[in-house]
Amino acid sequence: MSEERDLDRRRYIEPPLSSVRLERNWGAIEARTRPSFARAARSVAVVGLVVSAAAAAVLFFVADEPSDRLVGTTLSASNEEASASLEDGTRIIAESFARLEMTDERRDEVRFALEGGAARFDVAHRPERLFAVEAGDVEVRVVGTAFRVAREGDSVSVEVTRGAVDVRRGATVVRVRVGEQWEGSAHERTAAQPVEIPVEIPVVEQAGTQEVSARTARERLGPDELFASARSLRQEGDARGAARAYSLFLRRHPNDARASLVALELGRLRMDVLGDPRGAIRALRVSLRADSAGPFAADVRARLVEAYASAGDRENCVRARDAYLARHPGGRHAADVRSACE
Amino acid sequence: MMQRPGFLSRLGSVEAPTFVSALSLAVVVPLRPSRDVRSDEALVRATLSGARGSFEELYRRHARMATGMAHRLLGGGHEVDDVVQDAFVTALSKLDSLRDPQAFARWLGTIVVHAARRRLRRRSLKARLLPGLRESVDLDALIGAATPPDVALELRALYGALDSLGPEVAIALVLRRVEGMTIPEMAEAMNLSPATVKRRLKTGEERLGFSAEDAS
Repeated sequence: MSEERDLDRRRYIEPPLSSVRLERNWGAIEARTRPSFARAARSVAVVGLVVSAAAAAVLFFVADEPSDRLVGTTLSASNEEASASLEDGTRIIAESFARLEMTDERRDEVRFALEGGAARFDVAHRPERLFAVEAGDVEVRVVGTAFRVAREGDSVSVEVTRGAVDVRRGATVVRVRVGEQWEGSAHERTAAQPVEIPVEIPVVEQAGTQEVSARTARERLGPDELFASARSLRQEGDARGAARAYSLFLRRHPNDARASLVALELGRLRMDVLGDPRGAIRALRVSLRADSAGPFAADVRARLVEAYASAGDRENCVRARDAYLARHPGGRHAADVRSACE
Repeated sequence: MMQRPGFLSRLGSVEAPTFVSALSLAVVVPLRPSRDVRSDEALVRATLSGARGSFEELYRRHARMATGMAHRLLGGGHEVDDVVQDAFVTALSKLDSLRDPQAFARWLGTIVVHAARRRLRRRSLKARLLPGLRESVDLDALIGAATPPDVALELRALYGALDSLGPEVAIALVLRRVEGMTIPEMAEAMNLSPATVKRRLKTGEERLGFSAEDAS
């Protein structure tokens, strides 16, 4: 070691450098090196309000909240049923411990995402409007009816009590009529083909030499490996593969400490690479729900504004913008956010 | 089986094939050697050709170095992350001016120094104009508990006077006495001549009562 190296005291002054800090910085760098926010903003009549709760990032469903209080909100029924009504008379009942998010409400489209538990819907007949409930990759489209959707882990069931619904999973559509019940996997891929998580490594049973299938290995992937796999794919330019891995991470490990970050990454991919602002919005909401006050919250809120702007959803864009500016008035995205919905 | 370069290197050793229980207790995963790890040069060239993921890889490879350097140049504090972000943003915007792509890390270091200099200059100005608002460096938080007493004493003297030294002198002292750079390395990092670097270093050492011999 040379004399100069004797003066190398770097080891005595090391920054506290967590992965969260590294990710936060990368998020900021990425945001600053992207083209500025899309200005596109078609005027669409939307009623919505982004609401976030502090600790659990979950709002409890209270009786008959007006619909404009629900858009963008995750609704969790506690140990009792809870109900809500839309302005057109549609009634939604979340059964005990259900988690239901209203992801969209427009004149021509209303969407909910059921993350767990069961919810019943009595939908007002409005042929000009699409009313849909998503449970994983399963989408239930209302034809004009009353029905119940339940999701437990990977299993989804749909039961129609009046009228009919179309249950879609990928390219498959099944009409379910009154008195009928549909049951299936929440995920198209797990039902039709193995989940494509690219871990190209030979896997050997520790006790012997018998090889197990790559699929088995993928199914055993823990959160760390899924996370690393997604990051690797992303760096290699395989955005779809990375998005799949991130989605799988969120489905399997929704309570992992990285869930907020993973959802943000998924939102970025959908927004920046895959051209899917609606998908980005869903992911970003998941991120906020996982951690509404964490180190990425400002970035997520800014991204949400951008995603709404790109989706042409001006009203929600304005709401998201106001939410950002209220929480982060001096935030680094404030200037971009202010003009994003114009 | 499709090969995906770079993935396995993140799971563990990249020096030689080894066995790490990466999936579960029942599964043993042989890791591949490091031949798939792309060089900085390859990443720089890929970034310039539009592969955004390559720049992210450069960030992940060098973020610790850049953050450490910024942390030591500023004496910690909330501006460190700003400097790191500024440095990488600048690096991307000027990447096509990098003559030797394999020297990305060294080049990035000069950008960090430049970004830190701006912050120190601002701090110095603020300290003079608004002395009541001066933010002192938290020496206990900055200097590791395992630092030998004599080194800790010097570092405390250096960082205690950081904002009053002036940015150029402060940077010269940190690069020399903390980063352990040689005069030519400092000259490159500070974009100054070796003679100027020596003068600034001497000024700082005299003001803090450091003997020049300590640094030789």
